[in-house]
Amino acid sequence: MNFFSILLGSFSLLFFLSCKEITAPQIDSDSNEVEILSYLSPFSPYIKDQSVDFFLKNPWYSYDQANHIIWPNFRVYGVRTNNQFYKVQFVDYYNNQSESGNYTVRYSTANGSPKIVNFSAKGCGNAFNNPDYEACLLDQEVNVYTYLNLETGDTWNMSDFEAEQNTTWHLAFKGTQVKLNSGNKGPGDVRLADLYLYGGFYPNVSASFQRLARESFTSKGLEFFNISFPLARAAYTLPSGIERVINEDSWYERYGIFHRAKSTNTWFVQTDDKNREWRFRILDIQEISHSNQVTDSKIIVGLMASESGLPFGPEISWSLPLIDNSKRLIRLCLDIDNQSIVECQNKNTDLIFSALNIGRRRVWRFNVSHGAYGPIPI
Amino acid sequence: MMIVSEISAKSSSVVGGDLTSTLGQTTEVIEVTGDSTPKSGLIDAPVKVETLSSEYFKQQQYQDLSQAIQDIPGVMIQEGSMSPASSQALIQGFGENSVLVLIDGVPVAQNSSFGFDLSQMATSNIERVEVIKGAASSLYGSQAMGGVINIVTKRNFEGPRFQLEASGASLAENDQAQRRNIQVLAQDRLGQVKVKANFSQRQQDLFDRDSTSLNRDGAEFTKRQANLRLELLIGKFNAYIDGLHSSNDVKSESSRPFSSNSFGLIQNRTESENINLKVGLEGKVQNGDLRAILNLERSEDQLALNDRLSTPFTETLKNTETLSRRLDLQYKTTKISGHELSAGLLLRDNTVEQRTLSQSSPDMTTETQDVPKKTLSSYEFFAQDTFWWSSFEVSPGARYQYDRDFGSYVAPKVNFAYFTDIGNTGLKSWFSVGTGYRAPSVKERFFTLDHSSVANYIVVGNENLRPEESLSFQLGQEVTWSMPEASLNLYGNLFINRINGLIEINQRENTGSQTVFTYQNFNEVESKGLELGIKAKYRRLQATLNASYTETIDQSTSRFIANRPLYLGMFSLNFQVSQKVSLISLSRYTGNSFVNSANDQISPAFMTTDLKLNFTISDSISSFISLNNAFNATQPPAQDTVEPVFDGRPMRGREVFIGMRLARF
Repeated sequence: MNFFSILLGSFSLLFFLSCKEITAPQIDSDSNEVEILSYLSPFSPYIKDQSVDFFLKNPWYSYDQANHIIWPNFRVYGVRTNNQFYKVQFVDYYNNQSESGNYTVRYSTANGSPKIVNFSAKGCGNAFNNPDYEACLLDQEVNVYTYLNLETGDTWNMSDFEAEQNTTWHLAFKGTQVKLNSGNKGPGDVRLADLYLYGGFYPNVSASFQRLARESFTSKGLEFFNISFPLARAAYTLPSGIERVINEDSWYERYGIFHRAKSTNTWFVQTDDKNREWRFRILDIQEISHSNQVTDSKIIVGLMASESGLPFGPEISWSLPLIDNSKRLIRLCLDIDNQSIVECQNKNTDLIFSALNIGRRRVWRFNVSHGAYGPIPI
Repeated sequence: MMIVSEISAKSSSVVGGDLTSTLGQTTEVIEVTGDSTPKSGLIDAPVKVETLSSEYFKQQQYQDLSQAIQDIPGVMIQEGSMSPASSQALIQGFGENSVLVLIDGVPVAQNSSFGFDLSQMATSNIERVEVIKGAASSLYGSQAMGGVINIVTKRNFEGPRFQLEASGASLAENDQAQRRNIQVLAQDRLGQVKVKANFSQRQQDLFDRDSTSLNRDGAEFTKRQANLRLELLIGKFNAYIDGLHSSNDVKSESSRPFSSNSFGLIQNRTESENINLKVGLEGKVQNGDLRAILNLERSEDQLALNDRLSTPFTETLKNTETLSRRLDLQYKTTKISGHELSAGLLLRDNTVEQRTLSQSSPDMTTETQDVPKKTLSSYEFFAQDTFWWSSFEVSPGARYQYDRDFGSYVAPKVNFAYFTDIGNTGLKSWFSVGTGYRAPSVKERFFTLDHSSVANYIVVGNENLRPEESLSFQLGQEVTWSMPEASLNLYGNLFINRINGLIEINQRENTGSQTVFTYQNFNEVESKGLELGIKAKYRRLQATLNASYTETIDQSTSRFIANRPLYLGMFSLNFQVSQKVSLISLSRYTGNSFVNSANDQISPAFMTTDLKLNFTISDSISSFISLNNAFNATQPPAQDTVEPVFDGRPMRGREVFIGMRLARF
């Protein structure tokens, strides 16, 4: 045996003792639970006074520029309309011939089973796939939205003008654009909430098209849709054109020179006391007139408190200070927890009431400091 | 079917034998006869050299080099990372770019922009192939971190010779996936000029094993290679011109999402053309051999990817042109005071340009220049001494490299070998230490290649790569025992290779529904393992068993580098039934391997077995038939999927291969 042989033998022995193996990784039995945790779930229902371009902030798809494909991200939305709640998910944008603008929408009521509705909402497409794109934009017959009623599942086309007078539709589609029947798009009261989105589709913020595609070619987001969520507790955002949660058209109406309270609408208001929840409504509006002018106005609000999640207590009636309509601007900062008027810089300010008087025109507003949701018809 | 004809004036000596290994000056099996040209092989290198001869190729019915080279322990073949139907070698866990390929001792830059395709090299033009593992020798480019593969072409100019070989294969289950091969070799003298011409063509049909999916399993390809060599003796010098033309047309059909719910059929075409021209002068000067070679190599690739068959235009056409120029000077002395000195100089530059023509509608075409004309230049100088110290042969050396973008680097190396005989048992031992250095290639730095149509992934270059540096240790022992009717050869080699900054493809963030890969430096990668070979011969029965264990690990994460099986094995049994008939059984085992850097996806282990029969009809006619992949080890048929599929098992199942060879001298 020479020196090399001894070395080779020794090292070989060491190698055999340290040989590794390639084995499949262990699958964590709790992996399903981990997956669920990666959903984004904005559970707080309170929202601020800000209308948003909802689908710009909470898009239903990601565009795969390299392949020119709209991949649905299977985000689940909550829809609230006329105190009815729905879950809605956009699961496809193509028909079986890969033609775009063909929607498949999955939806259900709060406790109902999922329904699927398919419809075409191509609109004019885009300049790449429609050679007559420019002319199409002017064509009132083609460049229209497709309207969907979630209660019946019916879809139909009509003009924007007709839609602005129609309360039977909830969502409308044209190409990748989606609008809802509320705010400045329609006379309805449809609100949308972003319930949850699987975070795994957006690792490091940007979309993982690989994962989106994988989901598209398998269950198309059904497992996400089936996750239970208390729809009434979702944060339904303000539609475009509606700037305040306690929006004027929901808490009063005008008749002649007077205001009348819409006391059937109620709101849940968040105060600086996070352990307490308040129901808020306008009980009454009392006004004094002279020479065909309203000189003074009084707003009486109703408040019900819930401590640490317990049932709401009896309703308290609180008369706000008299509003002298001869003054140009009146601002009242309300501390709901103590039913008192406070300095506006005070952290206890929960609602800010303002009355602007410009000649005979009177503008009243409630702005929320911490958040609110509603209106909920009672 | 295949027909071969070989016509020549007289028979030459037997060339080589079979799978052999040689070390340094103890060359014993390979015998190149009847050729006065200076040696262009590695046999004289004072490091461990393993060889495969043309006779071995014949026995095993190999049509191209990629089929043969994996019969050397520790060497495996993988499909090129950037080109379907191409094959590249992995030596001791390092490959594609860390393996230096030489043709007749001259480095080959590439025969396409995708790297050197071993399946392009027809066996009819190969006299032998030699492999050195690790970065042991200074004589070759510092790129040779994993090892060196030298292809020695046929150059027997004893007389006129003509050889024709034709063969074909078809899947056993149906007549799909037909392969057709033809190889022609002709040699003669025209006056004082020795002329050799070689032509080969290999074709495969597109095939599909599962008609329920759009995705097709196998690519259609036509690989052609033509070689013309003219040689003339001028005084003491042998002057030659050697031109090698290779082309490779590959067409595959696969599917990719056309929308979020359906797949569409797309076609992928790759057309590569390579011209490699060498002008050389070799001869004796003073006390040694001088070799001067001017080498020009031009490649052009056209890639039509993601081509929707439903549209009349080609969506994307990528054109890549490379021009490589090399001047190689080498001088090697015979013994001076017990020392054998070698020195050499290599000057080279590579110019590349890549453009993409994109079309999304009949009247809208965009041209983008992915890589503007770029020239990378470098020069290398090496010196090596070989001398005896007691019973040890010692070869110290160093290689200096200057790269215009990355500066200077010196790579020292030393090799020890020890020889002894005890009775009829021969012992050879070796130990070598070598360092290596490799600047990132043009491809790694700049190219973008879209493979979404082939395997749903894109590979993009990375301009921020740094050079690789390596340290390699080899420790081996060979024992040969011979008796009149029997012989036994045992071979073992332990190795450790460390590469700092290994450049490998790794997945990065997605920008589309395909997976995107890019090149990146791994801080420290170590490959270590053991290679074993046993060759036993008793009368007419010969058995060969090769096995290797290689772990290639990223030291910073302790994870395996992707696509490196831990275990490789080969077992061959050759029975010479009579003088005219031989039977061969050859099995190859490839262990499972991780296919990604996260080490959570595995390509399963597999074994293929080929059963072969060689039949000599007459002195000039022989035929062969084989049942390849007899036990039908295949990966599942390709499906329409958005998942990248990495499965190393063969696409081709059991097939019948038949051919004929006509050879006359």
